[in-house]
Amino acid sequence: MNAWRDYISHEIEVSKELDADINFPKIHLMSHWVEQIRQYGDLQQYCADRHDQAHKTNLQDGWNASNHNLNSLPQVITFQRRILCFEIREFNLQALAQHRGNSAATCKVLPSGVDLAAPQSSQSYAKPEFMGPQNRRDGKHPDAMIKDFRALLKNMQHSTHRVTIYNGTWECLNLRVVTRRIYRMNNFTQWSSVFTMVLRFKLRALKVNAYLRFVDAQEARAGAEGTDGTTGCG
Amino acid sequence: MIFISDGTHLSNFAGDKKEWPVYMTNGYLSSNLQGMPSTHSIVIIALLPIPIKNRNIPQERRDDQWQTNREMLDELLTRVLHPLTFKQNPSAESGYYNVLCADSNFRHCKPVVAAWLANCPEYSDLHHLEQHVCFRCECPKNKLGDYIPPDKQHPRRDHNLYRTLSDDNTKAANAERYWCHVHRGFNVFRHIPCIVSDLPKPDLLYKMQIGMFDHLQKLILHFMKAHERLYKNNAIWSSAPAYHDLTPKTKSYEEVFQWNGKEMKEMSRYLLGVVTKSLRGGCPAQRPIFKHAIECTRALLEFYMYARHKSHDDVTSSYMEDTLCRVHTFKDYFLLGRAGKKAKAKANALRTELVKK
Repeated sequence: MNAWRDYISHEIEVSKELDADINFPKIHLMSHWVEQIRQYGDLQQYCADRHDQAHKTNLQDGWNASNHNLNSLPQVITFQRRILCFEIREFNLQALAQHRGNSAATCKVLPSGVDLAAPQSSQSYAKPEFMGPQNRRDGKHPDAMIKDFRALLKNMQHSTHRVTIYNGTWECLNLRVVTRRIYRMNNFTQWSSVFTMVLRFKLRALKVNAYLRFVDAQEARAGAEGTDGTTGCG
Repeated sequence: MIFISDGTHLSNFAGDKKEWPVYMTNGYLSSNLQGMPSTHSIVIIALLPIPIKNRNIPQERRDDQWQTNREMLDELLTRVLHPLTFKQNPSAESGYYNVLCADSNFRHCKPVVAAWLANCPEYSDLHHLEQHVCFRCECPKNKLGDYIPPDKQHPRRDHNLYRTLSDDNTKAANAERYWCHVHRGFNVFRHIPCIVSDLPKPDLLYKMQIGMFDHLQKLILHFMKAHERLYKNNAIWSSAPAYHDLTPKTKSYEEVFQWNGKEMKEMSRYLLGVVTKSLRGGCPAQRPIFKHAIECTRALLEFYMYARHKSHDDVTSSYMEDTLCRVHTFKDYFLLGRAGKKAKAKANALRTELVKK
């Protein structure tokens, strides 16, 4: 029994004599934590697994999409900038959709029939609403992308409809939407990609089932049948 | 402004691709928004140069190379942080400008560096300190492991002083600089109007889960080995059942090269049970030592649990101080785990003799 006790006391002595010590920075840093918590609040907000996530969206996705070549780094950066640009645009659209009174600004973002009829110069778009980075590869300002988008719309335009999106109880937003086929417009899948994109923004912003109402279809039908053309869609 | 820098591996196959990005985020964002990757609240602003591994270079040239690396890093950081330096903001009133915010309103703002989140070795590179020193206070290297009561803390690092010392470049100044473990040369953090030693913030993942728990596990395993309970410990460790979200472990701690933060978080929930169970019994001489080892483990785990609280008051912070004090009282029994080969060999020889008896 005593031998074991001797051994253990001897072990501590030996390890103290030779280079054993618990002198590493991490054990020391713990002594500052209480003070730092008093100054800056809880530690969860500085936890590194938050910004470890940032590697994925900022670097790893781009790396996976690149050709892993010598010049892969510029590819990673352009990829990340492109994604960021579009997502910022989407956030702006969501924010504008939430402000119901801000329909004038929405019209500027979502190309409507009025705008198509009288195209404006890229500078005349309201600058403050767009905060996307200026990062097109060809050096174009992001607002110029809207112009391209409108030109694209012009080519594929079949007919223009005025649609009201309801979220169950109140009227949300009046839009003019381009549809490919008039006669199948009850079928959601038959609509053009432009419309589904616009609708996606709206639905995400509202997070509820939306109801579509074709205002001009209703007007046309009102004379004939007198019913309202509300279409359920979720 | 909160800056974040953290090295990451992109690929282990195509020539070891590594990047060292600097991210930036806004301190005014709510932490819910900041935590969502889909909100893009954390934006990449720079990629820092990664120094090459210089293993086969003689010592003198290696020192020169390290100095060049530091200068390169500073050159780049100076460009990144240029708008925040004293030169651009000579007084407290200057530097304000109208910022366009996300709600399309303009606000009168001035960007200030509030925090720089990184892991321990990166702070040494960024602040021009030597490796393995505290970046918050001027604690000597051989006293890092001692318990420091909250009223007897070492003096905080004063980077303005270091700037004047490295500008002076006299013999006395160099001696003082050397004593503080600070490298010579220009450092951009010493030219930014903020308290530089306050920028690093405690980080639970690297400093606690992957940092301290890893050390603790190694110390425990060595302790078990010394007392011939390693086999028992491993058996109990791998028999932990799949309860709730715990994943059962198929390998013992030593067999795995690196455990990740989530596994460590899970581990912290049943580590004390494993240690207590495997240190059961033993001869009367061993009992008090086992008790102390269990106490040390418990104190460190309790400290971690308190640190994870989402809100703190005087009571919880006093608990934290208390548990930290207990960690330092009982840590001596784990000391041999940190010893060099000589000490271990000596102790092993003694132990084998005892076992033979």
